[in-house]
Amino acid sequence: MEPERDVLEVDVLFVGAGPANLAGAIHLSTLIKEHNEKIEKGVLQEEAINELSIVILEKGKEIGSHTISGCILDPCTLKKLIPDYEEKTPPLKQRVGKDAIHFLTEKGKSSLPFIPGPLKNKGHYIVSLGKFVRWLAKDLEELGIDILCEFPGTELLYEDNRVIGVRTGDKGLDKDGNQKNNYEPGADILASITVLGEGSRGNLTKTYFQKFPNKKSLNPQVYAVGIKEVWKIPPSKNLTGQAIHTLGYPLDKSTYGGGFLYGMEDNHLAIGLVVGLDYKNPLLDPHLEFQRFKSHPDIAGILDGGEIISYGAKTLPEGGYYSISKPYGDGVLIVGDSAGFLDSFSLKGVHLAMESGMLAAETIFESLKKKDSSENTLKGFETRVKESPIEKELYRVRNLHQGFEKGLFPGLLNGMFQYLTKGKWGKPKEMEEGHKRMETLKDYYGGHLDKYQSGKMKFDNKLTFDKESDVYYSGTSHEEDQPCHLKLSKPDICMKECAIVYGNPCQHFCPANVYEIVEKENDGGKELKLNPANCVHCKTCDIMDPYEIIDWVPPEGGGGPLYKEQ
Amino acid sequence: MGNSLFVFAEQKEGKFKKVAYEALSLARNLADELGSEVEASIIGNQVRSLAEELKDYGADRINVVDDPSLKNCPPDLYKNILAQQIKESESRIVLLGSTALGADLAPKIGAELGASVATDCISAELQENRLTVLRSVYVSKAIARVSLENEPAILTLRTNVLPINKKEGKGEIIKKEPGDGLPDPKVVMKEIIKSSQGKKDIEEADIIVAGGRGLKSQENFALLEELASLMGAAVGASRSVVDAGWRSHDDQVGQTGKTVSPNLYIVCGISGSIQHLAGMSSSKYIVAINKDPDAPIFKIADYGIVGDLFEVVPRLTEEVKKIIA
Repeated sequence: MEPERDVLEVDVLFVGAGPANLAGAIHLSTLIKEHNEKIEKGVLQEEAINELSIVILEKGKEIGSHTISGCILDPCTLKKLIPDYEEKTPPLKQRVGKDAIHFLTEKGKSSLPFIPGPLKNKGHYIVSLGKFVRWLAKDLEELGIDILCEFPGTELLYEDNRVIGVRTGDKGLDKDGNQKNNYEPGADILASITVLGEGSRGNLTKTYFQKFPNKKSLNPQVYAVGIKEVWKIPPSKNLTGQAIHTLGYPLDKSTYGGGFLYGMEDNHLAIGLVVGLDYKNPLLDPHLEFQRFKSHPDIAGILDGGEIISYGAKTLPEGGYYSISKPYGDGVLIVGDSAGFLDSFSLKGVHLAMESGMLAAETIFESLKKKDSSENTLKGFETRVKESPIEKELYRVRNLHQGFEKGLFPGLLNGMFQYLTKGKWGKPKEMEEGHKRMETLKDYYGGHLDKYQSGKMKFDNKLTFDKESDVYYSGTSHEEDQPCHLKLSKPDICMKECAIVYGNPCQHFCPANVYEIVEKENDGGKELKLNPANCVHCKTCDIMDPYEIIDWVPPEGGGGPLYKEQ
Repeated sequence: MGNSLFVFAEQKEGKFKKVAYEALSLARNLADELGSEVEASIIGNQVRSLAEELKDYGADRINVVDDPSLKNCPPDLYKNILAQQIKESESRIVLLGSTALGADLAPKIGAELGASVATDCISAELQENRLTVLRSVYVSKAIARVSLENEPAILTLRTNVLPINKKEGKGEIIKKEPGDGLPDPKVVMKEIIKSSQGKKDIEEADIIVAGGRGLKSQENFALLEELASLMGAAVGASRSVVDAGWRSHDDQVGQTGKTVSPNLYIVCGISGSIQHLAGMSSSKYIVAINKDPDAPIFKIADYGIVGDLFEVVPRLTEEVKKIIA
């Protein structure tokens, strides 16, 4: 029986309080304010836009609690959004002073003698994206825009093919789906325009393109997972202001990815490893690879005498230009990582996310004036994107990821050629979904599983950490008595097929130990044990499961990481 | 302002909660520093006989409100009575336990008296005559140092953290009547439904025997229950076995379960993740039994046995039986 739900009617609904939507909401307010001021002054003969209700939904406990990124911020978009940002004490305290790219072997390192253009970050800011979005959000509260935290969007609401709003998650259901004493059904938030800025592999975005496959891009989106820690290191390490990117160890030539070290202010260090979610080795464990990365003598030396402050993980949309599906529809716009606006050569997406948010705001502004929120007007978003720096930046590197199909070096070469010829090199290259590239145990190991065993590590809980300990440092917690938010459509496959064919990659690719293969009660074989309370909301499982049976849906609002400085 | 410290000595079914003694001990120490007195308050039905004991823990004045209407803990009545007592005594500092009842009363009394309220405190000190407390925040991941500006300052104290000290107070027992001129309660307690019968509450236990996935099945917990009943101990559980449905969430020890600080914590088949440690690391003595010599639990254990718990626990049980006999 359908419960009675509260219905809230708003004009514009932003799903996700990340940089894209916050920039969008701020810019929209600015446009409306300027518009109304001009009308008051008599400079413009149009209708004023008054009494607009704008709401932002955020599934995390507070703004920034689920926000994580490397992060290097190119302030170009911020300058457009808030021209006088420097006077508003932004959390932009550290500029990049020195770029470096190292190629690592197990014990050694060689530095690239030059830095390719997109990776020249001198002058950009090294930031904590979480602190940055909290700063952006402060403005919004003063503008009267409500940010509703602990409200995940769980379902898109439609009228025929038109998006009319979002249903939020139920609260107070127990493990079996029964109502507890604090049961509250989710509310239906109806809006003329819904803007999806859910981040990488957004759950609502995913369902939208499942419903409208004709809107999908030439290539599917492909992803990478970033595993990151923030450390406090001794001042003697002198890393403040350095932006270091690494290739090579611990990843092999056929695995896309690389490491990063960004020296933040106050001797804080952002350190991480990005692993492409199109790897071949079914037993690859990105979290383990990150621990191996930290164990490299040069890196261990940097972390020596320091201590871990925070841990987190997120996936990144790496597909680029040809993986961006139509980011608009009747009543809906899609921005930021959800749409795929990330430059995987320069490894930066925040300025593009904000740019897309601003362009969405301009489109919404037009739609409000025309009183038309159908696709006819909203397609103006794509037009604006194509005329913006986003197009220029992404087109130039449009075949970057595809180039790595043949391995690291061909990929790098391809990337360089393409960049130097301003993208003229290379016809549109096709790509398949990342998880399809995963090989079976038989094909990859050919019976030599000892190759894998030797890759295991003992964690010392000082430099390297096991997954459970790292999860502790992410501040993750969930109401434990709630339905499991990882929906497995065919759970029988796990032990009957996947265990034999792929060795249950979920236990390896999840950076939070949500998936565990354990002995059954009374030694009756093995089974999959889920620890959904550990989930850091990265979506790796939704992406990488070779059988496509895992569906990540948002758990009860407020649950998840509590990132302070990611 | 007056100069006494006020302690709500919470009792349940005729027995004081452990945190009541902890709160009283803290109050006595602070009172000695300030040259003040300690006023304790007992509220309930048939609780008169409990009052004397509080003299040993530092109470100078002990208010007793004993009335059948106070059976079953009607929270509004308790709030009204306490608020009035605090107003009358003009206390500067009020201490309650961070229990379900304490968490209910503290904000309500605070709102009524315009007080500063700090919950889940793990310590309280006077620094230049200002009360500074440490509170556990962000699911035990950080500690916040907070100073309270208003008076009275109301604190709820986390159980099993502060020490209990025996120090004599004047012990003057004052009988008070409920209800004189108190507003009618808005909330009426209708019924108390007990969740489990005769089980020892792990937060109150002096000895805990805890088990994890190493027990391999729900039935095997009988091993721990036998040992526990011999020692008068409670049985605790890791999140793993609670998730599996083998044990109740009431018994879960850890970051998302209960925080315990018994004199003796015997932990079997639990590896000792940070999340579990967060709930028991302040136990006085920790004995760990695990067949993995690298299990992190051994790093904080006072005594560790690397061995198969299915061999060790029965042997331990036998030895305990001999000692008791």
